[in-house]
Amino acid sequence: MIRRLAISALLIFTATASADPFVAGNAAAAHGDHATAATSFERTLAERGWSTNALFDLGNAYASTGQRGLAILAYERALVLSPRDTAVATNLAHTREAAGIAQPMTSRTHAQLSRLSSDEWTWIALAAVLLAAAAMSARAWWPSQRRRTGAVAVFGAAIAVLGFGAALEVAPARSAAVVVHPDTARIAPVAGAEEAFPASEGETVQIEQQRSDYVYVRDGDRYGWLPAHALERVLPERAPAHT
Amino acid sequence: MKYSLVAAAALGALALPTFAFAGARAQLAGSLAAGQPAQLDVTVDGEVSGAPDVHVPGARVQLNGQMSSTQIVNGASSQQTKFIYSVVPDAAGELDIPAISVATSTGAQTTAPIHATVSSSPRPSPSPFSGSVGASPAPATTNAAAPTGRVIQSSPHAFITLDVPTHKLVVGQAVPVTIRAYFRAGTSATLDGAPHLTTDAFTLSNLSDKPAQTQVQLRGEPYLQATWTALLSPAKPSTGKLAVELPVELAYRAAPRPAQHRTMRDIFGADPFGDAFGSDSPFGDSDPFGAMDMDIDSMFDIGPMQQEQVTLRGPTSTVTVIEPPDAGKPADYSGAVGAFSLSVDPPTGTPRVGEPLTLAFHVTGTGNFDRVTGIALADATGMKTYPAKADFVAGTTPLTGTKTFTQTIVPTRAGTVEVPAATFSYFDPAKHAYVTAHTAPLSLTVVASPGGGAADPGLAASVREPGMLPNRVDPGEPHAELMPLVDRASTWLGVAGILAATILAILIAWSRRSHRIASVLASRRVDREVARATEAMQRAADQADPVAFFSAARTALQTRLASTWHTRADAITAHDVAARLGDRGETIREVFEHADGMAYGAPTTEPLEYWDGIVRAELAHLEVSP
Repeated sequence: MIRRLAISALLIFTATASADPFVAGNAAAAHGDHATAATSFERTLAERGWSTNALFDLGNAYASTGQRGLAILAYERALVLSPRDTAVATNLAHTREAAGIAQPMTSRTHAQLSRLSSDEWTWIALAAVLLAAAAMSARAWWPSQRRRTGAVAVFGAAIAVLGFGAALEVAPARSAAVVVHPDTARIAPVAGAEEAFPASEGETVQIEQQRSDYVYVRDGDRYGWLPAHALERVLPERAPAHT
Repeated sequence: MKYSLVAAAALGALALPTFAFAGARAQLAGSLAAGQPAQLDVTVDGEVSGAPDVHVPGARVQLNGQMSSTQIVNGASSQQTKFIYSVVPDAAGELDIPAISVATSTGAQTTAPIHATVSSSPRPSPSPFSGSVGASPAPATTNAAAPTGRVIQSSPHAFITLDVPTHKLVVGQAVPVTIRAYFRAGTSATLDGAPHLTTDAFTLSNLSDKPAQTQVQLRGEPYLQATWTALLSPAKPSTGKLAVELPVELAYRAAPRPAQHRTMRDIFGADPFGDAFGSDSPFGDSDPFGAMDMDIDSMFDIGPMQQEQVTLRGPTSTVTVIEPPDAGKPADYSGAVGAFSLSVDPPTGTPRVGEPLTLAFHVTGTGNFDRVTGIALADATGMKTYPAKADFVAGTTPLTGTKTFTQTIVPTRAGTVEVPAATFSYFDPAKHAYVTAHTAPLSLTVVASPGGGAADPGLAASVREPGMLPNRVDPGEPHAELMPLVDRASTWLGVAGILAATILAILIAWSRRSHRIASVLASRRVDREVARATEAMQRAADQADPVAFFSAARTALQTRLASTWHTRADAITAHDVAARLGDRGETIREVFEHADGMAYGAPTTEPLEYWDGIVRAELAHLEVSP
């Protein structure tokens, strides 16, 4: 009797746990079933929304199945949410290296500004906007304090401008996309057009324009048309991406 | 790689500082052979009146030229003159060059006598500096054929040295060495390659791309010195000869041969001025060339230009290389030789289960850092480790620097986690013993991850590739949008809303301030008009003019009432006052009626001073409580 009860409880517990795709994904990953894990983590994102940890685990699953383009995409998206996450950066760098993709070069200014995320910079800028606005209002209502409130308003406005500038600098370009399926970029948006350059899996390119099933991309100083299905934008048009 | 080094004799002599002793000295350049010219230099410090006479028993001596240089140091000038002679021994055997006396402005200076041996057959000239510059003396000429020309260990024109700090090395050890090539002033040298070693038992690395060039004086002779620095590493145990070679193309002027001496008579066949002027020569008996059998080449201190490709080979030195001893060799010894220290930077922040931490191990010191490897921790209880990455920062001097090994560890359980000590073993050649450096063990207090669950040790399998960090057990905080705030329209709408609200607040404040200001200004205007009217009352009272007095009094009262009633002042009548103020306006109404009556000549019984007080009291009353 006791044994039956225990087995029943275990089954209920397992079913409950399996209902959580994130738990199921980790269970599959722990057993080396990375394809199932990837599907579960995709479900997690679709049901719960974006999260650094789910994207990180999804990247691990894709990297373990050899889908390095999708892995790099997941890590890139995780870094959008948590730019200081060293584990994500470590696995992204490792996956890029394994894929033979050069690590992106960033300026010193960009590296310094990236100590805060784009959203953090935006919040700072918004707080500065509020400060400047309050100071401007106070200046109008209490003219006797106009010098002090004026200084605060100028300070707030300057911080706001710097904050928004930093946020724009740190934020990934909306046109950034990762090659998730290796293909050949061509000089025209037709299948038989002359080759422009090979687009390796995991490479990050910039989308210049889109025309039906093809997108015109820039990879450094190279340009070409790639099939739309070969790319996935880092910042998807819809959120969450896999709903 | 080809470098040209031109040591110009005259420039060198002018530019070089003089380290030689003051006085006079003689120097024989090259060895002596019967019938072959050798160069004898007589250098004198100070002003000289003329070339000294040199007589050498058993040899012909001829003055070939002279060079003078003046050096100014801190405003003090010094002069040096060098006389260059060619000496041609008559026969083999011993040759004594006696002391040479030179007359200078400070008195006669005398050189030391020179004893030399004259060989029977001509041979290449050994270096005049043999045994003084190189590590081993008496360089011998080698005529071994080489692709870049004959191999010479030294010549009067060039030679090379290799400075090795120690002659006992350990396999794996690296020592800084200095290679110096010397080119005598007046010699043009073109390097046909970089310096290299004569044996493959050693390797030369980090050789400087371009040699540092400087001018030096060796035994009174100006030389151009080219210096390379490099690291010397023994490749295997050996006891062998070590020397350095440098392929170079030399161009220099050889000492003039007696048979080639040409005089003015040789050139013109006769004295060019002897016959042209006959007995009427403008020089009289002082024909400038007729009395001279002058050597034209010696006038310019030159011989024929010679050019040859040679390989300079430096003095050979013996270096013993031994293997580090097997006895006492630590298991983790990786071949590092030198003197090092090991330290660790503990991780920053609060250690959490499942979150990676970074440990940085620093190896600092002197030695072969390329063999400093493998400093990392292995998996231990409560933590998983990942391969370390190395980064080397060179120091200011060769072989020094810091190599940093950065390793990621992930705590796998909450509580106290002991991070074991890291070790690093190397061979210290100074102590001739192995040394093992340790870091101090660390104790980490690990807290549970935000998700509350401890990392499953099985998650190490969640990544297939080594070096990657495993999955996280906490799904983390979800975000509805991945798009950064700055790229969302809602953010900019919010900013626009804040700005709009601010503008609205400013406008309201401005509006309210405008009303208040208008009110104050109107009040001030009324005060001014009332003041003018009361002044007119005062004047009228002084002049006993009741008509003007009551007119002014009425105006003052009307103005004050108009500011309160917000109507025109001249439109206010006694009737209005009675209607609005009732009994309280009785006095004002009387003033108005008196003003009307005065216009038609009606008299007043009270004196104007009485009415002045009444009106002022009413005005004050109206100002306080209208």
